[in-house]
Order: sequence, then structure tokens, then C-alpha cells
Amino acid sequence: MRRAIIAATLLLAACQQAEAPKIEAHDAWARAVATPGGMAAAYLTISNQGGEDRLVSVHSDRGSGASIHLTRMANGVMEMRPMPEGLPVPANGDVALAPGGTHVMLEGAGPLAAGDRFDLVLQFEKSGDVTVPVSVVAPGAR
Amino acid sequence: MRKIRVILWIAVGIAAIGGMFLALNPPSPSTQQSQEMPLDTIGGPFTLVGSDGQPFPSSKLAGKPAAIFFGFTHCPDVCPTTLARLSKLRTQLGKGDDGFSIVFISVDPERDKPEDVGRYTTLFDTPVIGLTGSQAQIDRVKSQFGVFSQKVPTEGGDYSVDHTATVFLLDRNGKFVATLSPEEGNDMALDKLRRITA
Repeated sequence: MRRAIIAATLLLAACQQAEAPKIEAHDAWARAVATPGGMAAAYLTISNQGGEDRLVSVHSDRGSGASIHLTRMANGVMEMRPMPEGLPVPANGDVALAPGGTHVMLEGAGPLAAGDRFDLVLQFEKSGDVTVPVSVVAPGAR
Repeated sequence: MRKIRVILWIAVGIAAIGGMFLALNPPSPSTQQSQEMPLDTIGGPFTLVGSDGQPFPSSKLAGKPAAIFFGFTHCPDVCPTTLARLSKLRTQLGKGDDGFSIVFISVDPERDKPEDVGRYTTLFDTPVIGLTGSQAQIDRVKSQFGVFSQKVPTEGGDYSVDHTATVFLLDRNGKFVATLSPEEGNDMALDKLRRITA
């Protein structure tokens, strides 16, 4: 009996691994930045209709470097930290990068004006590169 | 099998002891916390530098309630998000720009000169008073409000600043009356703003 359970578990795990992720990135936006060379944050939604995946890195031709960052509150203090292990994308789930949470930080990206557009290339562990266009909006727009 | 069971029970025991320890000794909050300051000592008069480069005494805020947020212009996420939120709350309050002043004080005077703060605040489609100052002036106002900030290097050789994200609400006389936290809902925030602008 125990062997059967183990075999079933392994089989299930194998099936899950075999299922390919089906990633889409959409609704990417960033707030306008006035400061030349200033940092910008980009937000977007990642939808996955397949097996699990992981966002490992981000690239953009805007600024000097893009990275996945997490804003978190610790005792009322806002802290922003890189996520070197990347961002896990669950099987058949959405991940929202939204203000006050996970975001793509773009160093040296300013100035960005409302109406500007640029591309972000999201690199996933299994799905490879996914390009998403980012719309720049006025800081108070959303 | 028996061995596994024993190991599992040991793990359960460790977890239970750990839980008890945490319950009896909750992690102590950081000493830089503003909430730890007695309420009546928060705030007080200050003089900083306006975006026009001229001295800005806090008496200039008198006559209108104010919402003060400490941040830095290179801050990509929480600072614009908070200022956008305050702008929306002010609109929802329905008293126009006169409802209360939105004040942004830089905790990064090294990078944020008056013109930087001016450029930053004019980006919002609503009046925001941007203030900076000398390191000594900023240190002083930070300690008056119990605000913590600390530089953190970023991957690209730049730096970010961890900082208190609480919004401080002052009444018409410049007296500190309440805070808005990023986590609380907008209904609660609006209630507080209605009270100070009544």
C-alpha cells in the first residue's frame, strides 16, 4: 500500500513538472519620474495558464539597470529590497506587481513623462523572454 | 517507520516550545518607531527650505490642516504612491485643494536640493508643498516627528532610503493630531481627514 502511495505521489510530481507554463504579461505601467537619472517603478500582471515558473530577471533599455524589488513595511518603516531568487509564478495563477509591493525597479530611468512607452523584457526560468510594453502615466493617475 | 514517528513528535515539540516562546516574548518593535513617542511630543515648529530655495517656517502651514509625508525624490514606489493617495483623499473629501495641505519633506537632503523637490512635487496634478533643508535641519525635523531613515545601497551603485512611511496629520494650528498608515483603509483615512478639516 505504502509503495503504491509513493509511486502515485512521484507520478503526480512528474506530471506537474511536465506541464509547461503558459505565461502572459499585461497591463504594465509606470509613474512619471521628474528627476533626471531618478529611479522608476514599473507594475504589471503576470498570468499563467500552465505549470509553475519563475521570473528570474528583467531588462529594459531605459535606465542603467532593472531588477525585481519588494517593498515591505517593518514597524511603519518602508523598506525596499531586491529579490535575488526572483519571483515565483504559481501554476494556473496570476501574480500582480502593484504599488507598495513587488515591482520592477528601474535605476537611472528618469525622466519619464506621462505618455512615454518603453519595453520591459521579462526573463522566466522556463518560458524564456516575454516582452511587455510599459505605459507611463501621471504620478497621481492610478 | 517508528523512527520517523519519533522524529515527527520531536519536531512537534520544538514547534510548540517555539510558539510558546514567541507568545511570551513577542519580537520587540524597533526603537526608532514613531508610535513609541508620547503623542504630545510629536511635531512642533520647524524651519526647512522650500522648493524656491527660501526658508520655509512651519508657521506658513498655519490656518489649514496639513498631511506631512517624509520621503525622497528618487523613491520610485511608496513615495509617489502615498502622495497619489493623499491627492485622491483630498479630492474625495470634497473641499478642493483648501481641505488640507499636502507636504513632502525629503529625508535625502544630500541628493534632494530645492529644485529637485520642486520638480518632483510639480509632477503631481495637485498642489504639494515640497521641502528639503540642510542635513541638520532634516535631522532635527525627523527627530521631532520620530521619523527613521537609513540609506541602503542598490545593485546599480545608487542608493535607496528606508524610511518611516507614516503620514502625520496636523490641525489648523500646526498641532499633531493623528497619523495615516499605508496599511489602513481609505474609509478610516477619510474619517480622520474629515475630523481635522471639520
